[in-house]
Amino acid sequence: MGRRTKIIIIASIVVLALLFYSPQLVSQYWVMVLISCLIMVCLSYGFRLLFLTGRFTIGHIAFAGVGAYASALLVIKADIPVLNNPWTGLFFGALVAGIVALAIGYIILRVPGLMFAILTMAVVELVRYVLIMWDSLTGGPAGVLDIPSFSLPGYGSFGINQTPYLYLIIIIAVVTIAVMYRIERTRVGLSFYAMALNDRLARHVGMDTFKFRLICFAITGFFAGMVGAFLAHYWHYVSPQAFILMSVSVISALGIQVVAVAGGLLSPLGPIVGAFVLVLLSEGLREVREYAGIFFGGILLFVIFMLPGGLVTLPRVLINMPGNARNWPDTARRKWLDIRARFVPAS
Amino acid sequence: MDVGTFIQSLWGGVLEAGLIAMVAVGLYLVLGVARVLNFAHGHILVLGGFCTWGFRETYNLNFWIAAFLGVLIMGIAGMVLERFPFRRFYGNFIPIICVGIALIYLFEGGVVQLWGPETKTVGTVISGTSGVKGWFIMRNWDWLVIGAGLGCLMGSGLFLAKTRIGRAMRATAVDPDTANLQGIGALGMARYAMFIGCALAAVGGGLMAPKYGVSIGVGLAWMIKGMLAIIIGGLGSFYGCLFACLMLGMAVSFSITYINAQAGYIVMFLLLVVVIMVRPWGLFGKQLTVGIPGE
Repeated sequence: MGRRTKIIIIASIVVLALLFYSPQLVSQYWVMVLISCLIMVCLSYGFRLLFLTGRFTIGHIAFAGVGAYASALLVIKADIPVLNNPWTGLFFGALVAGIVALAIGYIILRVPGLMFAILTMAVVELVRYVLIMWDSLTGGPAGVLDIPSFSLPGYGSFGINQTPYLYLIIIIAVVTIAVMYRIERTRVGLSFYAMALNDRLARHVGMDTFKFRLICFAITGFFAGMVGAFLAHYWHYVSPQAFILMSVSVISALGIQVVAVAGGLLSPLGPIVGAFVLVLLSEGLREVREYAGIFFGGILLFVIFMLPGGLVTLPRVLINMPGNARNWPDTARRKWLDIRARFVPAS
Repeated sequence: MDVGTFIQSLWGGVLEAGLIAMVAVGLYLVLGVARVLNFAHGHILVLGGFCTWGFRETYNLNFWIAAFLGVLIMGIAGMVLERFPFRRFYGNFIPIICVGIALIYLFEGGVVQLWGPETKTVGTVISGTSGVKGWFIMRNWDWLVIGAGLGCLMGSGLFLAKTRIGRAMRATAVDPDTANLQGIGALGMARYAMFIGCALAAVGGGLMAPKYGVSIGVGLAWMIKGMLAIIIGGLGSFYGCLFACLMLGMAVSFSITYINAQAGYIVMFLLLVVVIMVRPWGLFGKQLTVGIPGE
């Protein structure tokens, strides 16, 4: 086990301990903010995994919506005790979202990357329309209300106390990150890098890029669905307006993209940094809610022009800055080509 | 089946197709010549409407003058966009998409800050309806939109086909490097393409303003519609793009009439699915690989 892995493990343990301990440290409001951060971490990790295959998706929130609705409807409408449980809903939502991602991906992944990005936006709109129109099942624009919370045998229902939700989302986030981190380092992950580097060459070598991209899409859809199901039982309501392209909160399709890109696309730490920075920023801007959009756009532009690797590279860039300052804009521009071309697995 | 309803849907389809084409043709030009996917294109359309509204509000100008000014301003804005973000990342679609999204955030936030989130009304310019009694009837403004839309599109088509600059732009779309070798400045062509594309979008925005009002939220929806038309039509042919717009417009109009007010979008998507499953590169697109789905 190399030194770097040891550092990562120790750092993770420290961070996790801090997170688990945080309800004692900060008020419930900030626990709620932390939960939002972790939700964005999960969602942007899915974005990043798909980005590693060379596809830029903006429709990730749609699968969270599918998972949320699936879980909510199952828990409310099913009468069998086993199925009635929000915990089952969690996995059921994830499963349904994964299957829907499989179906949608089967159609959408055929088009070239540029069109694919727009099509994912269209998918978000489509999911929203279906949720509104199929109101016999989904309750239409009003959504589903009064969704029961999680409950544990010894503890009781989670209720309005934020702390147990925090623990649950930490576990979900850890599982998501762990799974995606491991996938990156398997042979399947290597094929993702190959596809991103040169799709045609990968196909000529014999990789079925479509199949691998589809698998990746389904996996990210699965985890997005799990997060969505968590959201359903956390917010206690779902509505089509909760999972849209762009909203004031960061939890929107474009919000995921901003978090992932601003955080950093290459490094595994990127989405985490991006999620925390952007959610905390939007909370800090709560007074001036209307400016939040301008700040997101500004940060995104700043990252695009100055920090292609994302905010996670900021320390490294600042340290090297005196040497690089003169031709940094050109270096930054060329680094974007690197990002497209250099998906090298770390360690 | 009522023939009158059918013809009414036909004209509604042409109207819808014209509006989609305003966005799609601009996007197609920009995509082909400048190699830029302008995510904020729908917002340029809406901003064109905002300019129209703004000039009418503040200076009480004639609608046409205000719309014309809006078109000019948006064209210039397009050129500025080309010069600053898009030229920097020429050919590299990831940062361009991100820039587009950042622009979406900036535009939406900025507009809401400056003018408030309500939908603005511009007021009717031409009122009344006309049509063949018993067969179809449409508002006069809609006839004007159809006419103006067709005019602009035919104008763009003729511009691309007949004039020297149009030919130069087509050459740049085919291969920028060879165009450069021939003496055509590819980046200059990109600038003109952005101007024309954004101007067309602003025309669409101005035309839509009296009818739908001006609201910043619809920018994304229009951009998606335009991109759907481009994906269905493929990147190979300008008239293919127009045909795809027509198909989409007809599909939306007919489904609104015969199925449901909401069904238009679903039908658009179904059309898209059918086209993608059969020809992923679009109906008129260039086939990139032989029968293999994916890039």
